[in-house]
Amino acid sequence: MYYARVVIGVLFGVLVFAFLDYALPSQNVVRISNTYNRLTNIPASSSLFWAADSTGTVENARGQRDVRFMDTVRPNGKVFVYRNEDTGWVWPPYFKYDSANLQAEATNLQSTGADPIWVNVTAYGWRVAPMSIYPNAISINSVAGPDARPTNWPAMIVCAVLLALLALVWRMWGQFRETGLQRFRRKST
Amino acid sequence: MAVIRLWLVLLALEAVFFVALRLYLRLRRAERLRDRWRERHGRGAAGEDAFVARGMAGFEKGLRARLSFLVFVLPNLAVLVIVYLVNWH
Repeated sequence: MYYARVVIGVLFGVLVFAFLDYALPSQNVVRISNTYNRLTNIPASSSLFWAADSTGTVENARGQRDVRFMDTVRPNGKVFVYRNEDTGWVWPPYFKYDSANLQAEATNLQSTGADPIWVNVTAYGWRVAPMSIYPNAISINSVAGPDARPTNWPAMIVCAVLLALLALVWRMWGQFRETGLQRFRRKST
Repeated sequence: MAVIRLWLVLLALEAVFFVALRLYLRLRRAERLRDRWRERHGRGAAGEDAFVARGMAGFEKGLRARLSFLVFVLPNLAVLVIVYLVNWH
């Protein structure tokens, strides 16, 4: 029983970490090399990692979606692909509906390797090539150079708020238990 | 409509949290009053329940009770701030 509880606890911890890692914004300094739309197949198995149906995304009869993408290059030379979809008022709570503007901004900041423009792309999600899922870009800011390390304030603030809430819920739970026990004892004596 | 659904879900969560928070604040205050009485008069002295009831009478007008209504304000404010930062900033 003890080991089962340890295993369940560890799995739960990993799950929470993965969830936060997926949903919280991350920031990467990249150079945008291309922006385009591509008709994309979204299989049911990975539809969780794409925009929800009710955000105004259009699908054709075959279930394909016209999705905006951005090709980028990292300072170390490796490539990274972002998608650019509205999240609308659905999960995750970014309430993004300016993907057309963001795409225009990205196109404006597009640059070649010879004359690079370095930008900081804020995004959430994972790039998992075998499943064809991409992180969703949220905003783009130009930075001084490839060595810039912008502080990820949004994720820090969200983590701090979540920790404070957790502490509060913890104390509330403790209070409820204690009061419940006291009532129980008073009745039983 | 996704906006209405979001708002309804948010409101439901806020309501649940609000009820739990109020219960917590009340229980904690009552417990502190009880502890104070027992410190002064010892355990089992008469008038403890009346003392606690008197102390709880002013709960609704207290700062904590008033601040607890922020549960219905702050999340909505956070949504507006996120909307602004993501789409207009």
